[in-house]
Amino acid sequence: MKRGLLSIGFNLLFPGAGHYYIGEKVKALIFAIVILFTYAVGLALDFQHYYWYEAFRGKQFLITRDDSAPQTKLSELERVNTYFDDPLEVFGIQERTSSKEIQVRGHAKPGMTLRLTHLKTFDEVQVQADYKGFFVFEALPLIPGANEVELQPAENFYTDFSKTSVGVPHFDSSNPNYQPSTLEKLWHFIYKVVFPVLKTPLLHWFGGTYQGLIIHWWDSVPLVKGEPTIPAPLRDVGFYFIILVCMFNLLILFDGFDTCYNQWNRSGKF
Amino acid sequence: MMSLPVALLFFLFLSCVLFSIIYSLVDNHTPEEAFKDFFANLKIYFGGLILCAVFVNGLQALFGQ
Repeated sequence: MKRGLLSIGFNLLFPGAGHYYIGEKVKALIFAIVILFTYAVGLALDFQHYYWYEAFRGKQFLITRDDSAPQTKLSELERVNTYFDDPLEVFGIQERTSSKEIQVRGHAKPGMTLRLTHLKTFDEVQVQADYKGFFVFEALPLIPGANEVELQPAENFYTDFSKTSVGVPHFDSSNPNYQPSTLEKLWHFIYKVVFPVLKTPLLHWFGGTYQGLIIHWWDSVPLVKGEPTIPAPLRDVGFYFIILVCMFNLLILFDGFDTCYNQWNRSGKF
Repeated sequence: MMSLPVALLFFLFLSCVLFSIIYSLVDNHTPEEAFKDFFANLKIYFGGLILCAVFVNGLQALFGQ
């Protein structure tokens, strides 16, 4: 019994580790390769997988416009970790500048609408993050001296052509108007508890680093003709692959346990 | 580069291959059996996928999008 339970325990830590422990080394290797590959394909297609709106906080910056300071340049793209990074990352804000305006660049949830507001002049610019989550705001004018600037998820998206605004859901739990339904709470439970266990903790934690490394792959190898971003049906397939990883892990958990008590497998042919 | 339906078919076929590998290893006790079962599984899963696609497209043709 102890051997079977240990096999489950090891397989819960890393796919195939339990099979390796019970002596099924080739099987363990194939399981590990197949599950890692499935997870890699899933995360390469579904960039939204790790994003979480809960506890989403905007950011405030104090930028001083001072003629003796250097000019501000648009900050470089930085590497992101979609699991461990803040849901809203801003790249290289220069606190002292002689520029008359600033441009803010960063990373958030893919497709998220954000607004940048000057808290003294109430000038506002908005932007929608691209399919990878990167965004660059239009230039925001600065006044001489201290400039307090706030970055927040936008509640409305202003369309250029018709000058109208469209409500944007942002599921921000710090907003009193946000009241999740039972179905949504169930989804939160799956996301926070079921996924990290069934994907195995190691895959779950390191997936964000992997996603940060390959996040620009579609720009180099666009699989579908005429699509500058990953099309929505393919993003859904990515999520399906991540669900597959959970199913595969569940299957091998039972298989590892069963193999310990199966007469056929005692000879360890795999 | 390919069209979207071809890309979708590619990834769904890939999922059938991965499923077939896992099930052939879980269901069998020797590498020879698993190897044979892999192809049998793939035939069933991919056949099922194509049948589902035909069925859904048939429904769409009958009742519209």
